[in-house]
Parts: sequence; C-alpha cells; structure tokens
Amino acid sequence: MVKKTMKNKDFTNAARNVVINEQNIIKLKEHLEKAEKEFQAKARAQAPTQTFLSRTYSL
Amino acid sequence: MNSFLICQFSELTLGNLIKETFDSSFPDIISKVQIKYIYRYLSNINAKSILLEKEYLDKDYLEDYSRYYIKSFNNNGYLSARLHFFSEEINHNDVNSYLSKLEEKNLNKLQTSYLGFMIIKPLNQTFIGKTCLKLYPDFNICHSDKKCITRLYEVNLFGIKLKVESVAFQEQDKVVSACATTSIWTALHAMSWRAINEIPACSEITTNAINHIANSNNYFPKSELSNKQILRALDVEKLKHHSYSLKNISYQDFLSHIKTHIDSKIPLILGVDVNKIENDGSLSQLAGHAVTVLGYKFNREKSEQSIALYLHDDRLGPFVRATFYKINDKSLELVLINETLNKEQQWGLALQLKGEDGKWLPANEILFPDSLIIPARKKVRLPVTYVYNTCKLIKEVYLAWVATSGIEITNNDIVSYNIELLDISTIKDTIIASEIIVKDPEAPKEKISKNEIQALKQEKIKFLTKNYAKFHWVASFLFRGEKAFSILFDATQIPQGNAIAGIYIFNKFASDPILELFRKYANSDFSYQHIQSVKASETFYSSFIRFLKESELNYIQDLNNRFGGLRAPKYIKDSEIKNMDIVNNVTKDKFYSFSNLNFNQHCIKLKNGSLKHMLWAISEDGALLTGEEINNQGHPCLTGFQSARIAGEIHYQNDNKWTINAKSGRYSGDYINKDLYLKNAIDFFKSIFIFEENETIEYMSSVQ
Repeated sequence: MVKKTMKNKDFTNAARNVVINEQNIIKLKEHLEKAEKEFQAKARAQAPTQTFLSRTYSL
Repeated sequence: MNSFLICQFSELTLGNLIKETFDSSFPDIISKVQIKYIYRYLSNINAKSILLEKEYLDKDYLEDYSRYYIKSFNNNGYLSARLHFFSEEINHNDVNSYLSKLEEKNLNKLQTSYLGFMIIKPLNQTFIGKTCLKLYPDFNICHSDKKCITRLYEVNLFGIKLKVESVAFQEQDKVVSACATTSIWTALHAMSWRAINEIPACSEITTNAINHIANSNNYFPKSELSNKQILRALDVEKLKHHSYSLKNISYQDFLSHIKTHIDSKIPLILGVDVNKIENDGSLSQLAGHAVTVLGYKFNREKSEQSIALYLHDDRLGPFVRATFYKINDKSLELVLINETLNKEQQWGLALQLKGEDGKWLPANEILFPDSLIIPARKKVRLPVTYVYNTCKLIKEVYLAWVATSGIEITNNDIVSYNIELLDISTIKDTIIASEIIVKDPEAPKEKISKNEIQALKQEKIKFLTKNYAKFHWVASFLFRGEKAFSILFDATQIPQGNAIAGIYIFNKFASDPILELFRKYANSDFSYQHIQSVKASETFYSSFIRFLKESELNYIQDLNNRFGGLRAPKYIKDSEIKNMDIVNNVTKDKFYSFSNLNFNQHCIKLKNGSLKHMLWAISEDGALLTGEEINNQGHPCLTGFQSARIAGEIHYQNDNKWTINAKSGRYSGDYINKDLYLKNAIDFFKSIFIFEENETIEYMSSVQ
C-alpha cells in the first residue's frame, strides 16, 4: 500500500525527479514493444472473421 | 361495450385480461415463461392494478401485419390491445372521473403510480408486443455502480398523458422476427437520440437484414439471423458498428466493453452460445442466441458481492439479471467482485430468475459470450480498443517510471481511469461547471500560486472556446481516487490519425503526479527518437506524448503573451464615421521596428503643450500605432476599426518624463494583466524610438 504519509506533492516531486536516461529509455522501449505485440494479438483474436460473420442465432 | 377493464394485479387477472383480449386459444397464458417473468417483475416494482385498453393501434404490429399477417386467411386483424400497470389501486370510477375532469393532482397521482405498459398482439402464442416497464428504482442513482440505459416513453391513455422510463421489450414472433431481430429492435430503442416513431418494426429489420446478403432466404418465416445479417440491418439504419469476436476474450476485457458502452449509453448486441446445465452439472449446447445488454451492477456496498449484467432476452423479458460464473469441471462458482480470472479460466453468464417465494432460482443455463456488436452513431468511427490500450500503457508506464524514483507502490489502483463516449456539448457542460481547485483537498495548506491559477483559467477558456469534433472517447484519470484529468480522444478520427484532441486538468494536485512525469519525458532529448523507434499501431500513446511536448512559442502566441489577446473595438462613436465608412486618422504612424526617430520629436506637440495627449495601440500583427486624437475620433480610427491589442494614451508630464497608460474604452477595458502589457509596451517603445539620456518613459499603473 502507499504509505499514508505520502501526499500528492510527494508524488509530484517524485515524478519530477525521475531520471530519464538511456538505460530507462531502453527498458521503456522494451515495455512498449511487448505491449504492442499483446495489443496486436488481442486485436487479431477479436477481429471479426468469416466464421464470425456466418455465426447464426436461432433460439 | 367498455373500452377498458380494470383489475387488481395478480397472476390470474393478468392471464385473464390477456385471454379476454382476443379470446386466445392459447391454453395456459400464465405458464408462458415471458408472462411469468413479467408478472414477477411487476410484482417486484409493486404493481397493484392493471388497466386493459381493449383496442390499440400499435405502429410496430401494424407494420408487421401489413408485411406478413394480412395475407393469412385466419388473421385476427390489425388491432392490438394494451395493458397498463399501476402501483396504486384504481377502479373504473376513478378513471371515468379523471376522464370527465382531469385535475393536476389526479394526473400526478396516476403518473407517480404508472409502471408502464405491454402491447398484446392478436397472435395466438407469441402475443407479447412492445412492452415498456419502469426500471427498478435503485438504478442510475448518482455515484451508484448500478447503471442501466433507459429513455422516456410518452403514453397517451384516452387523452391522459403518462410517461415511463424504460427500454422497449418484445418477444420474437418466430415469423417476421428472430431473437436477433428483437435484439436489434431493442438496441435501436435504447439509443435515446433516435426518434421512437422512426424505429423500424421487426419485419422491416428482418427484411433489411436478409436483403443483399448472399444465400439469405428472402422470405418469412425467419427463424434465425447471422452476424453478417445483423450488421447489414445496422447499416440500413445508418449506424456505425464495431464488432468483436469474444471466443478468447478475457473476463476483464469483456467487463471493460460492457462498462464503457453502458456508461456511454450505447447498447450492446451480445451473441451467446446457450448451454443447458444438466442434473449432473455437465453442460449440453443448445444453440446460438442474441440478447441486448442494457445495464450492469458492480455492487460493492451490499453483502451480495457479485457483478451482474442486465439485458433484454426475448425468451424471458426485460432487464433480466445475468451473473458471472466460473466453470470448473461440472461445477459453477460465482465470480466475486474485484476477482481477477486467469486467461485459461472458463467463464459464462447465468440468467437469474426468481421463484414463487421471491428468491433467486438456481441457474439452469449458461451463456458463453461469442460475439459482440456495438451499434453507434455514424460519426463514432474510432473503436474504443485504441483508447483502452492507450490508457493501459499510460498507467503501466507511470507505475514503472515511478518505481525507478524509489517510491514503492504496491497498490496499482493508485491510478485508475473510466472511459465513456460523450458529445462535445456534454464535455463542455462538465468543464464549464467545474471549479478550479486551488487547495489540495488532502493537504489544505498546499495552494497553487496566482500565476498557476491564472494559467488554469486561461486553459479553461482556451478549452471551452476551441472547436472540437462532435464525439470523443473521454478517458477520465483518477489519482488515489480523486478525479485528476481527462484525455479526449477524437472518436471521429481514423486509427492512423492523431486522435488526442485535448487534455483537461480538473485537479492540478491530482494531475501533476502523473502528467509531470510524462511532460518531463515528452520534453526530454530522448522522446522524439524514442517515439519514432517504437512501432505503435494499436495505441495513441505516441500522440499522447507528442501532445504533452511543449510547443515552441510562435509569433502570435508571443504577441498574445506580451500585449494581450485580440479585442474587437467595443463600440464606435458617430464622430468616427463619415459617409458610412470609418474615418482614417491622417496623423497615424505605424512602426514594426527601430525607426531612428527621436521620441520627443515624434511627440513634439505633447511637449510643446499643443496637444494634451496622443493615442497608441498595438495592432493585430504587433505593430505600434501612434496618432493624434482629432475631433473626438479615438482608437478605432487609428486601427481602421480592426481588432487590436492593448491601447492607450501617451502623455508628457514634465522634466522630460513621458508616460503611457491603458486608457482605451474600446480595446483595453477588460484585460486582467494590463500592467504587464503596459510594461512590455514600454520596452517596445524604447526599441522603436530614440530617447535622450535625460528622458524617461514609464507606464501609469492601471491599479490606482
């Protein structure tokens, strides 16, 4: 849990103090690429296919 | 013959009144599943009386009749009947007296107790026509997690005007409509922006669905529709549809779709595989079925910790509750609120019905979601999945970055977001009603500076006065449960476009912890190269970062900052018009840069006392205009009645001291930062004219 004593201001300061260096950027790039792959896989899985279009409802 | 009959509400009287209507030969009306459901629903909302309107011309049935039933040799005619339900006991005398003299108190009494109506079609078995029943009262209460789409239906009962909040239900007649047809019909009704009288009847929807689709059987009776035919029917209604195969969708993603669209007042057509639960707990597949999802319940307050959907199922009735179950080897287990399911976990929906004693009966069917079709307005072209992905990334990246700063966050819900589709007028209504938060609610000693307040005010004005697309997906971010900011995704954009239309900050104290981090990244040396190197086709994350990158100041912004935004001349005097045209000030001079002129020569008439003052103004394109005030002709004659910025008078005091002020009723009247603009104007004067060593020019403060 977030420490109770932490205030919004502390989080803002933390955000301002984040170091943006090459190492962090490489990690972020890896994260974004992994996420993109997941999103693409999900989009492919959920995309309407021919089977989807021919699915019928009769109850 | 009486045109209406009134009975106390009971299962038997309900059945008898229906039977009375068309002398139905259907043997046991009250054992019909939909009638049982509707009876229990009405009992739950406290129905006390039923009024039968014996002859009613229903638009929907009339359409179906003209398309199909009219050519049946033994048809029962085109007239329907209508049952009205009330939560007060009423009798014939009451209604007769209301009809002879309708007093407002009686109308109010009748309206308060009105629970809705059900059309009875002159068909033997599938007689339940358009049915609008009042929604349970505990829905749609402010800040409630129990939401349902409804719209207002106006009812005219023998001239008495009544209203009911509902979404129309009807059962499929198995001839001109299948389950998918009624689910489309219900979805069209749930779109409150569509006029009710323009919603096509089921026979028309079916005809639209089966026309122009290869291998469609272009005739009635019609017992089924395919997804392609559903989409075709929506095309004919000029609706944009977003469709998803749900075969492998996670429980969480499915819930996101439901919540986002219900919050956006968009109904969802859900295709399911219906499975019967056998006595031994095994499941046997029945067939595909289509229902319309209209609401959800994420009830966290009561002991019942389950999530439910509310849907119109034409096999049962309106607002049927469906709860989520995990399916584990012949056993069903309720999915609890806040529970996260593994990807491999099979889950389904169980429709819930109440027994005679009012308690929930055990589920006898499980519905496995198979497809989702979301009908939306034509302009809503951007699927919400791009918005989900972008918000998910923003949250993930924030948590990952903050972790590098040494803050340990174990509760990922520190950042959360809600997404809904809103039209721009609703968005602006919310923003104009919002107040600028100047104190941190969690630490009241923390205040923002006057400059920051001013900047937030300017942002608010800029946001409200800018043009936007008609519809936006609005992602509202919360930091530690407090509303922080909203990101507007232009819903009319294409996925390849730049959809981020704006970011509005509601609470700077809650926004800064997130946005400051992304601003720092966006303005770092790495961001451009980084954004270019990451291929992102499924999100607008790059657009979000680009949006936060501080734009380089352009010339117009610089002029606005230094001399104020443009103002049109507030009014014009008669003395400033000649021959229907504005008088041009013949003494006008215009300067853009250093003039090589001595100021005391330029304003010699002030120094020698032949003029009391001269006029000055900063033009739209940043030029300094100066001139004499001749015959009571003021600043508009100097600017040619064009828009301009700060303007005022030049005075000579004495001892080589010049002053300028912001006295211009036409241009400078409403600037808040007059002194700042005057100070900048002084610098501009000094850059244009030569001042002797012993000369000074100052501004007269407007705050005196």
